[in-house]
Amino acid sequence: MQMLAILKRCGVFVVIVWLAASLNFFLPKLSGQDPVRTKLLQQAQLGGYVQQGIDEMVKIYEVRFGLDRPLWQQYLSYLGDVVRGDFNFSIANYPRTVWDMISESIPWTVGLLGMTTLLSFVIGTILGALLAWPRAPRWMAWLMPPLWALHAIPFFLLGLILMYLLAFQVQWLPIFGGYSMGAVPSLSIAFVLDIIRHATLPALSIILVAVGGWALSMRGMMVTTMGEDYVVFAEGKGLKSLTIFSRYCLRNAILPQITALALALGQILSGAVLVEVIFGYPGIGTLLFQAIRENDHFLIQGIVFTVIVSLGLATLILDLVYPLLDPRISYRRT
Amino acid sequence: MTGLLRYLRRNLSLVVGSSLLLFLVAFIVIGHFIVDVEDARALSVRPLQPPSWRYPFGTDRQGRDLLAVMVAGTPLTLQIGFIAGILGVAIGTVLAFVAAYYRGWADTIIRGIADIGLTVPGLLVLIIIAVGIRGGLSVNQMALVVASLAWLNPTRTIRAQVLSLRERGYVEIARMSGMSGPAIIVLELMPNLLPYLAATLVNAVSSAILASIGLEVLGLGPIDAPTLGMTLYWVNFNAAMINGWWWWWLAPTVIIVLVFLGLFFVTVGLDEYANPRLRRSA
Amino acid sequence: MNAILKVEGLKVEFEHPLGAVKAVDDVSFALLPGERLGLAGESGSGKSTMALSILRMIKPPGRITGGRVSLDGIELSALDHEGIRRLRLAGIAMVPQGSMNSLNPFIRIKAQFADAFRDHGLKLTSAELETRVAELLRTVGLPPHVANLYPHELSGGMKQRACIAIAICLRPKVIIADEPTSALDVVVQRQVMETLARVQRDLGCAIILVGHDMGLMAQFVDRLGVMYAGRLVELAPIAEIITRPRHPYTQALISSLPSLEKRGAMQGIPGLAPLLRDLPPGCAFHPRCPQAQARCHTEKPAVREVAPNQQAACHFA
Ligand SMILES: Nc1ncnc2c1ncn2[C@@H]1O[C@H](COP(=O)(O)OP(=O)(O)O)[C@@H](O)[C@H]1O
Ligand SMILES: [Mg+2]
Repeated sequence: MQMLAILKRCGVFVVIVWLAASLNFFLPKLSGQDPVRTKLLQQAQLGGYVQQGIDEMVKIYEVRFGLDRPLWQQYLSYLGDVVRGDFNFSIANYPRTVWDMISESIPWTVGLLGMTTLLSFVIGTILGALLAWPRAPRWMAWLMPPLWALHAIPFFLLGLILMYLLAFQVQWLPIFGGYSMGAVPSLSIAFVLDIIRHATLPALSIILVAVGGWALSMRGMMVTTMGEDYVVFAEGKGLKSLTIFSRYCLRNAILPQITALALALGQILSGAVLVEVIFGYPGIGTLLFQAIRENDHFLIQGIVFTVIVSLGLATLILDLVYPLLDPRISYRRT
Repeated sequence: MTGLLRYLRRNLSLVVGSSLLLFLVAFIVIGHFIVDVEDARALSVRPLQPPSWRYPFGTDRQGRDLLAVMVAGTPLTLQIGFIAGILGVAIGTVLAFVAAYYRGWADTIIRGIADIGLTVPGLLVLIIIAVGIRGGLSVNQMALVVASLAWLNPTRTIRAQVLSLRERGYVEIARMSGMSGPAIIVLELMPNLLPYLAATLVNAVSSAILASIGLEVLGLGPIDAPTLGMTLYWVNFNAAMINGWWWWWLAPTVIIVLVFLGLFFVTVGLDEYANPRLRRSA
Repeated sequence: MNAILKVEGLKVEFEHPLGAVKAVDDVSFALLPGERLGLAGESGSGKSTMALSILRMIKPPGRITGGRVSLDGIELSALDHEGIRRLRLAGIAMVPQGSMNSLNPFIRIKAQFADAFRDHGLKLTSAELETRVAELLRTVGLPPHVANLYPHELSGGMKQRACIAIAICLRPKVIIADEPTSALDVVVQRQVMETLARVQRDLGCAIILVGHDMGLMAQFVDRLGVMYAGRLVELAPIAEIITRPRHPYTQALISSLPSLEKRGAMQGIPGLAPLLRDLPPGCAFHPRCPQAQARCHTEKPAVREVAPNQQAACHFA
């Protein structure tokens, strides 16, 4: 029974992946002319050092999507490629493959965004809970306006301001990139510290903005929960306010937060494209930016596909874990 | 009038937010009198001048007077936001009413699409669209691109609100007194929904501006227009930060921050107006 | 006999931008040990507010602005926050209204007992807890395995029984039950009321039953208080109230019942319920009162003894 529901949910995930892939395949076809082909030919005419590669790619391309073959055959072979994780070559960086480039950027983005998302979730949720708690210290009320104000500002703008203050004016932190130029990527402590120093500014600009959002939604949920009958009854039972706070309010108000966290984690790859661009951080966002600049269609498609799959994965995990958190929900829903 | 003033004293967010927005409007209007907006074009003035009496906001590397850029560009950015926001809320309202009024399969489909659409990263979809129709986007086309997703959130929130109003019995009473479907919607629900719609609209405008600036910074905006986002694109393109041309990014940053803060506080204020329950528990 | 619970001049106000709302206005009564007191009145007359204010559970914008409550000789307003907390459940227990949502949906029934025991200083081993809870559940007619269920796995009646079991778990001296059966269907309502009556009798505690089902009240309570616009306008033994209601509002209530032998909910009586924020001067009931005189428009009637053991707030009672 449970097994069946879980399998069903996994089936939905496969459908999402399939839809994303199909969209990637058909959308460019709809626009009439083929942007990939145009770009390839354009690049080939420009000539230069990639000339040979382009010729080769045009050939590969023609074989793969050969106009001689009917559409459904093209589609099937495309799906086969997707299943194998083969997203073709990057147009602008031949002979590197799209998947190579993506898998190189993913750890950077996942590291930065995973860290900042979790940190801001934890800080913001605690703050929001305390803000709603009548017995919290008075000064906490003063935190609200600045949190709100920061929350209203886009990540990358705060990034610009912080960059100017902390990296340009006082030069405490590096201004650009994921690690120092000339540093040799290795697992040494020096290199790790270097990475952390480079990640601090982008991380700070994300966290400062995101904390306010988490705090606001948590506070809202807490206020709603504190009005629930079971909290009134808990008070009538003479429970200590700490018990009421932690076991009757927090525990219940946090569930929607966790849902939102899962969705936020799913959006990690696309979450801070602009922050990465501004700070020249070598993650997926910067890669996407480059791909757009260079009109690298295969790369854009690959990134979009990867992002959608990661999102589908996050919601899948959420749906599988949720019944463990909320006893009212079970897999056995009819 | 005095009633309004008394209310505003209790709703500080609304006051702060509208003051910020009024300040921006004043800046644009007065700005049009004191600078030549033609100087917002490249090669109009001496490039890379720091702020001075002559150019209070400085000039950029391509020879634009940044004050003129701000005066000309702020309304463009707001224009994108408002067109997309209004379209989004209009579409959202219609869909929400259809969903909430007729329920059944119409509701299932509309809510399903909105829910799925909202989990997909919006900027990414907009990037795909913008890349697809790349080259020579105008400001209004930009607004349409952004509007293509701007209806998702309004649809969902307005639907929820209409459903809760329905529950409150306005509709039942109207139905019993023999009104037809659409009349019930307009006459009975709209007045109660208006403050809420206003809050949703401001919110949608804010999101639309954010999305448009995002696309512009990535280089997918109207390349020739001096919008705030395009200015930031040039800032990034020319590495103004590393080169120490601080005034170049300072002006657009401050104005964008003011826009977002203004819109945000107006939303909070309108929410408070639409939903006074929140106030009590604050 | 000495009163177990004494309420004197209790006042509760809710702040409102358009002026304060006196939700409870100068209410006094005494509850004898083991007594069953009913509290009736139309919705918004301040019954729940009064129940909560006895436990000092009024939240802003509400405020207790006057009066004294004492339990067994202990003045409650002299207690600090911690003292009041300990008194809840152990001294005065509440049975929540409706109860569809009165149990924490995320923890098992057993744990909701355990929280109460722990915060009232009882250190139980899990075996002791197990037997205590099973025993309490048995008292309200629930099987022991309910302890390990979540609230959503119980029916409405079972939930309310579980709430009653929680309420009696520390053997309180007074139980306040605010419309304990209003969310249940009629058959279950009756069973739950019988359960409540039985545990109250076994425990020997006094009970305040808030409700608007006069038929139910007539079967269950010893004395009945009637509230109107925040005031206790009549208080008398239930037989007196039914046969000889003194206050015109009570009279209207009684005569609006279809038949006392049949159970029936209180029906509306003519006129609009008053806006507490904007009460008429004099007697709050005079706009709806068939017997109103000139005096009623200006002079607020005091609560007075109109017969032995029977008090009412009407100039002409
Ligand atoms: N949380 C609150 N905020 C403001 N006013 C309240 C609140 N709770 C109760 N009141 C006021 O107190 C009055 C009495 O309410 P209540 O005690 O719930 O009546 P009852 O239980 O008899 O139906 C209501 O008419 C309302 O005006
Ligand atoms: Mg009540």
